[in-house]
Amino acid sequence: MKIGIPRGLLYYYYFPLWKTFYENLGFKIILSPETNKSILDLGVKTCVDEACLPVKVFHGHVEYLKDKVDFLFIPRHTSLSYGEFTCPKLCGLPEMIINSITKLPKVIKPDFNLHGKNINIDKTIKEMIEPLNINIKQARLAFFNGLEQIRIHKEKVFKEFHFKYHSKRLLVLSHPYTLYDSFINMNLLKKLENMGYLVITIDNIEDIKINYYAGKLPKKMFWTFGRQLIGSGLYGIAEKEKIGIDGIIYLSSFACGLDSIIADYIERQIRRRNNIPFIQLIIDEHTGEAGLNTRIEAFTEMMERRKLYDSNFSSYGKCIYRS
Amino acid sequence: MIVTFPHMGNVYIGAKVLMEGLGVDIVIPPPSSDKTLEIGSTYSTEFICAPLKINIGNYIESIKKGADTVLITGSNGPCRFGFYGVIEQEILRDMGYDVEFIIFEAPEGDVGELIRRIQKATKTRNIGRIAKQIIKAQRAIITADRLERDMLNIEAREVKKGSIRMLRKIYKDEVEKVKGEKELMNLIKNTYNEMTKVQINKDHIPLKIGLIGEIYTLIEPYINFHVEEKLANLGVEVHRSLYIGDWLSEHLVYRPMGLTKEVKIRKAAKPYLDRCIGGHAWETIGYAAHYCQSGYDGIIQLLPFGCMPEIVAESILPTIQRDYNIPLMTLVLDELTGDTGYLTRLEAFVDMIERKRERRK
Ligand code: SF4
Ligand code: SF4
Repeated sequence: MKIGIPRGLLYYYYFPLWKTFYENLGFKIILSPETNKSILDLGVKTCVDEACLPVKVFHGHVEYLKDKVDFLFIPRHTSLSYGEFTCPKLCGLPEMIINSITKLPKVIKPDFNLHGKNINIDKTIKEMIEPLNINIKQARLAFFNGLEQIRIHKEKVFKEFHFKYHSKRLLVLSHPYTLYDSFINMNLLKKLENMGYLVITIDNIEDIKINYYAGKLPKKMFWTFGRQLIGSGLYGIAEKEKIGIDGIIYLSSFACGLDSIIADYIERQIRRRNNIPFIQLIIDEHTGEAGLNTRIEAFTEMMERRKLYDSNFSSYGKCIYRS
Repeated sequence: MIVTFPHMGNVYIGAKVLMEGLGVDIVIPPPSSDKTLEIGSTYSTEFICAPLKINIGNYIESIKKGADTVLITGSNGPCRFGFYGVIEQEILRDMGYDVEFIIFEAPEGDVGELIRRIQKATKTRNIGRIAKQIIKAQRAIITADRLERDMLNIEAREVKKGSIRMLRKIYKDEVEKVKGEKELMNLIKNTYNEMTKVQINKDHIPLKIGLIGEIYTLIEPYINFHVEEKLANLGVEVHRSLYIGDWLSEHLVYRPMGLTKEVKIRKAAKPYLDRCIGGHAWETIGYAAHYCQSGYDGIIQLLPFGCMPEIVAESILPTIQRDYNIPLMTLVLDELTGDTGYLTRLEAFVDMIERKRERRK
C-alpha cells in the first residue's frame, strides 16, 4: 500500500515523523519530487486564485501524486505549540485540497493540535491510521519513533550549521516552506552562499533568544512562525554585532497574511533605528529570476558599502552561540 | 480623555449610547469614505487586510476632531485581527500621533485585566452601571440593525423606486445628531412610521440572495459599496449572515457560558467544514449551506483581498454550489475595486439568477 506525501508546507519540518511512522507500520511512502515548473503550474491551475504561493505549490504536489498512490496524507496543523496557532490556511488545508482537487484517493487528514492544556496525541495517532486498519498500540510506538527522528533531524540541522564558516553573515527570515523550497525562492540560499554569506535562519537561532525578544511585543504573538520570525528579527536588530550579521532579508510570499503583520513590525523597528540594512523580497508565481537577482545584488552591494563606512560595524567572524 | 473607535456598520450607534450614557467624551469618526481609505493605505503596509487600513483612516479623522484615545476589541488568534491593535499603534506612532489604545480583550485569559480596561475606558468603577449601559447599547444596535433590515425588505418591493433611499438618507443624517438612547429610539420609531407610508408592490416576488463572508466587509457598507442597498434597489431581497448585534450577543452572552446560537449553522457547515479555522470561515460555509437549504436563489461571498480564512472558505464554496446547484459569486474587495465594474458584476449576477428562476417556472 502506498501513501503519498506532498512535498510542501510543513513537510519541511515534520517529514521525518510521517515517514518513520508509516514505514514502521509497513507502508510505502511516495514523496512528490522537489517543486518544479510543472508542479507549480498544476498548483496554479487547481488552487483558488487568491491563495499564496506555498499553498498553490502544495496543491500542485497533490495533483501530481493523486493517481500514483492508494492514500494521500494531507495534515492539518492547527497548532504547533501550546497557546499558539498556525495560519488559517494551514488549519483548513485538508478542506482546501478536498474541495479544489477532483478524483482524489482516500485522504488521511490528521489534526496536529498542541494548542490546549490537555493535548490529545492519541486522537491524532488514531486519525493518522483511520482508514488503514492498524493496531493502535503499534501505531503509538511508531509515532514515538517518529518523534525521535524529528529530534535527530533538528539536531543535525543545528550542528551542520555550526560547521559552516563564512566571514560574512546574513539573517534570512522566512517560513520554512519558502525558505527551503529552492524552486519557490529561486535558489536564494545557494545564491547567498555563493556570494560568500553564511545564512542564518529561524532554525539556527536558540529558542531562548527567540522567546526573549518575542516577549518584548506588547501582546503575546499567537502564531508559532510569527513568534519565531519576530523573535529572530528583533534579536537580529538588537544584537547584530554579537551575531555578526550585515543585514536582514525577509522573504515573503505575495499576500501572506502573517508577514503583513510580522515583516511590517520588524521593518518599522528597523526604520526607527536605521541600524541595519533590511529588504523584503516578495515572491509569487509571476516573479522573474532576473528581477530577483538584481534586487539581491543591489542589496548586498548596499550592505557592503554600509559596512565600509559604518565604523561601529566590524564584528564579523564571531560564533553566534558563544556568550 | 476623548475616545474614538473604528467604524463597522452600526457599532457607532452602540458606542454613542454606551459612552454618552456614562458621560465619557466621544468622537464618532466621520463615515468612512475614499479619503479615509486613502489615509489608511498611505500609512499601512500594502498587504495588510483592508479593514485595518480603513480603521487607520477612521482614527486619523477622529484625532483631527480631538480624540486622544482609541477603543477597539481584540482576539487571541488565529487571524490577523488579533494583532490589529499592536500594528495600529505602531502605525500611528510612526505618523507622529500620541494616542492611547484601550483594547477590550482578556490578555492570555486574564478577565480581571479586561474589566480594569473597561473601567478605565468608561471612567467608572461601577460595574453595575457599566453593565446596564452595555445592555442598552446592545439593544440600540440590535434595533438599528433591525430597522435597516426592514428598510431593505421594503426597498426590494417599493413601487416608487428611491422612496426608501430617501428615507434612509434622512435617518442616517439624524442618527448622528441624536443624543442618548431615548432620542435614538424615538427616531427609529418615527422612521418606522414613515416607512409604513411607502407603497409596496404586492405582486413582486423578489429574488432572494444570501450574503456571506468576512465580517467587516459584510457589515461596513463603505467597503462593500453598499451592496445590500444596491441589491435591494435591483428588487432583490437580501439576507446577510452576520450582524454586529448578533455578534455581540454571541460573544458577550452565549460564548462565555459555553453556548452558541449557531448550532443550526454549524450543523449545516458540518459536511464541508467542521471547525473554526479563524475569522468567520465556519459561519461563511454554514450560512452558504443554510441559504441553499432555505430556497435562496443565489449567494454572494465578500472578502477583503488576502483574507486568509475566507480564502479557505472560497475553496470550499464550489462544492456547495455543485451540491445544491445554486449560483454563487465571490467578490474580492480592495482599494482597486472600482464602483462601476462592481455594479456591473452585481447586475449581471442578478440577471443570471433571474433567468435561472424563469427557466425553472
Ligand atoms: S503563513 Fe503566509 S505563506 Fe504561509 S500559508 Fe499562511 S498566508 Fe500562506
Ligand atoms: S478575517 Fe480576514 S480581514 Fe479579518 S483579520 Fe483575518 S485576514 Fe484580515
